[in-house]
Amino acid sequence: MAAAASVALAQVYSEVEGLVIRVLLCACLLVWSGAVSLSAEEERSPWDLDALLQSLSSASAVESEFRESRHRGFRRVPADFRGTMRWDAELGLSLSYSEPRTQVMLIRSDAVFQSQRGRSPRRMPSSEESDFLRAILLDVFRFDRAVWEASFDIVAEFDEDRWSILLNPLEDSEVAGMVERIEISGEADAVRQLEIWRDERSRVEIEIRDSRTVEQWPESVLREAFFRETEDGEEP
Amino acid sequence: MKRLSLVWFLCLAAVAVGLAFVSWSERLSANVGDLLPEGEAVEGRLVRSWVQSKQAGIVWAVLHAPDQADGLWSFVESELGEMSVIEGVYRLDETAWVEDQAEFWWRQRLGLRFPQWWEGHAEKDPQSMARAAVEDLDQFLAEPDAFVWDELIPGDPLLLIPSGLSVLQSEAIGGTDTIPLMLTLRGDPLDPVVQEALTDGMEALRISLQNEWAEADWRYSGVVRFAQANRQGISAEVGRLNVAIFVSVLALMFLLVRSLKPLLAVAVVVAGSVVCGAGAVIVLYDQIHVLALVLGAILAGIAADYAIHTITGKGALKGILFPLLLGFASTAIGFSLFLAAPLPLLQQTGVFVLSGLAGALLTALSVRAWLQPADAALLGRHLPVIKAPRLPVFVTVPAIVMLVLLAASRMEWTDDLRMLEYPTPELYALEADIQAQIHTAPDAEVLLVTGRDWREARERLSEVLQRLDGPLDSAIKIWEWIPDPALLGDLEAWLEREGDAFAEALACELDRADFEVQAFEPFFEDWRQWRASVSEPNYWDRLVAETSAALSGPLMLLFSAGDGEQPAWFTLSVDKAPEQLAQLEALPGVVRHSQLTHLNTLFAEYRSSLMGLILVAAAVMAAVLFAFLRVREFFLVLGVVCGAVSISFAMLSLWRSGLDLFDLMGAFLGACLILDYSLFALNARRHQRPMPVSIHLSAVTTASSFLWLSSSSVAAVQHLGQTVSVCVLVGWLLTWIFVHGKD
Repeated sequence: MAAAASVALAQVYSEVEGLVIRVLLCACLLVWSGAVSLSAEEERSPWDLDALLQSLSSASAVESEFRESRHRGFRRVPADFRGTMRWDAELGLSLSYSEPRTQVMLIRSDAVFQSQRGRSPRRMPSSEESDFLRAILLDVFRFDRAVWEASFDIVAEFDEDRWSILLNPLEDSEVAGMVERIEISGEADAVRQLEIWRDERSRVEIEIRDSRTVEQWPESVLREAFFRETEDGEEP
Repeated sequence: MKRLSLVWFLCLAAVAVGLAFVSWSERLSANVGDLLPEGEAVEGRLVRSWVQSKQAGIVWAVLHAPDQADGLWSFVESELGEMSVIEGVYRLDETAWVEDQAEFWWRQRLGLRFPQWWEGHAEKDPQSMARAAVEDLDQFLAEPDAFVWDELIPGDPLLLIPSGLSVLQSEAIGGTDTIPLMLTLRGDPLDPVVQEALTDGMEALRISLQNEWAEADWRYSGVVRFAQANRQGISAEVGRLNVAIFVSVLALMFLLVRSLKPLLAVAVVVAGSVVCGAGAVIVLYDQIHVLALVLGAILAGIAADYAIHTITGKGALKGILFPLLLGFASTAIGFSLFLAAPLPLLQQTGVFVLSGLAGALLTALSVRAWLQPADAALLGRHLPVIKAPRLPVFVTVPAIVMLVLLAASRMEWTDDLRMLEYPTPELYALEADIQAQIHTAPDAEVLLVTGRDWREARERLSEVLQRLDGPLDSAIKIWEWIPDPALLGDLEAWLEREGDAFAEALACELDRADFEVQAFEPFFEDWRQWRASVSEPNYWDRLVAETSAALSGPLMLLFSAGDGEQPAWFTLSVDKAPEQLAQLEALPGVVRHSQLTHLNTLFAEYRSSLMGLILVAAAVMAAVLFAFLRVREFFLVLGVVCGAVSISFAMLSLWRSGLDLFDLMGAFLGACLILDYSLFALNARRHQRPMPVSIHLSAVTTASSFLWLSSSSVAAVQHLGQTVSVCVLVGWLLTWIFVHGKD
């Protein structure tokens, strides 16, 4: 139906003269066809943004495997990392890297902590980069529309079970100077990829797989990934 | 006589009024650092300067904040900011305080860090150094947490700042729920006003925290807290002991004599002597250590002794004048030697006692002019009648010798500065707990490496570092930011020889390893500028002076500029075996900061020098006695004095472990009093009179006064009290038996 309407409008266009009218008609065509297209996709997808965010945020503790590629502006090849990612609404986001080095990073609202095997966790120096991590990653993983809308303009696309979300920082938001855009994509209620673009030459790609909801973290995970003291008072 | 005595009383009244207007809180000090001599060796001055100028102005605190409760830190930060006595707040679990000076570190990164980097490469070939630099950079970027430095890498491909900041940031300070803090104080930390303001502010903060966040915990410690506890403890004790001694002396006098006249005489003479003693120290010293007044309490015993002798010696004044003046002269000569003692505390005690003695003598004679002396027999009517025990000399003397020999085998000297402190075990426990959370190795020794100027201090530091094998405990290795001047000289020559070869090689290696060379232009631009400046005259001195001026927060504790008499110094924390520490300490300019070891050595030196002074004083006193006494009398008196001191030391050695400086002082005072008793007893024997009541009264009151001192919490005062009371009681007994009672 949308295609037929476009053809009809194109015929009208050929008969109309005058630049202003042509521009106006072109704009109308784009807006209308876009709207029709989105509504057609929504019709095909069981998801909408609110439903997706509600589903993603419903799990308060999730564990996934991840692969991270860092593209730096000063280097032609990316640096690759692998590990296990654990999200806990209360304890923060823990990234347990296994390749190429073993290291755990815990991102909390107040600070970023780092621990290498066998050593006590230490607070990482506050820097533009660590502030960025805290501000962006924690907000993103909350999947809270209100939180997102406070800092980003949201564009969502759905195609059956697959979806993608583009977060563009609002001009007056705190994150505007930190990030150019964030792209999140996934399937059904699982996030598959996260791309954080600092600028056109620097970005971080995170591929996420094998996500599973966790009822309760084992003691060893609490100790090693979230740096929580265990009952016997030991710290990693 | 009455007119002269009236003039004297008026003088005393004038001095007393003057003393009432003295600001005692400002003039009295309870700071242990003030016990050290002014003109001491450089090490002692340095330690004192370190304690007073650096350590005293710092408060260490720990905020335990479970789950990092929202708003908790902001609240604490805001409350601390409102305290007028707090100047700076530095969180030790992060490097914000280092980053406050980020611009300085960044600007000087090549000057401060490149020499060390260059030294770390055995091969000084630009090509291989560049290759190693790029390999290091590659490895570094493979670290997951390297992202925090991404912004800096184009200006610092040699990683001078990341590696440098890691030595400025302490390793693993604080847990995830603990925030360790360093606070710097505004104003003099030893000023009671500052101390009170800090205590009040901290207590208010603790209460507010507990009201808002039940699980939050706030603890703090520091020199200021110890100083305050010490001052409050000693001040309270001075008041308690003074009242107890005064009341007990008056009560004993009333009980034994039951006459108001001797009571009045003792009260007036003791007051007169204290006024004279206090007046003299106030005039001569800006800061009087409160312990000088506590030790000066020995004056009360002698003053009471004079009062009793003068008021009970009915008859012509000359009847008592000989033993009184001979006793005064010998005691005064003895205490005058304290003026030459190396410890300021002993000097002040010497001045206090010496002027107090003169005041006591003059007041006692003045009192005699106004109060008719009582009949000794009348005064002694309430004393229990006890005959002098008659002990055969051939049994007593060998027994005494045996006892002394037994004790001599157990006798040992201990020298511990802590015995001058008011005991605060709870503060020590708190301090240990806080330090355990702030430092990775709280038991590590801190060494101060000193020099007349920066160059000498840095060269000595290089020597110390060469001697140390294995890793250093030091969390913060400031010297890694201060290049050795000799090293900088070698680097200059290398730069001269190699020209731009290193920069060119680095660019090639970066390109080969898939880096965008153009992105590193900020580094190459700074490199060219630095190369031009490094060959300027006095570059090293300017660099170090600028660095010293730029340091703040915990870094300011790490090194200090030399100005005039104050030497330059670096600190380093070393967790090494004692024998290795001793070897390091033997190097020129190395001082162990944990002062106790060092200060205790000084203390031992003071004890041996005091022992020398006392022996000289004893010889002078013996010479005076020898001039005025018959030979037999002289040896009798000498035997009694030496015997009493030996027996007392023997008893104390068997009773508790270790004798110290204050036992020595106590024994000297005891000897002076026993000498007094012997002379009066001898005088009575010459005139075939009974043992003077004044000796019994003086011995009882003096012993009771010093028994009170032995209840002090300050170990030094306690030991002084024990020694004097034992000495006086033993001397009294020996005087009674051998000097008077023998006939």
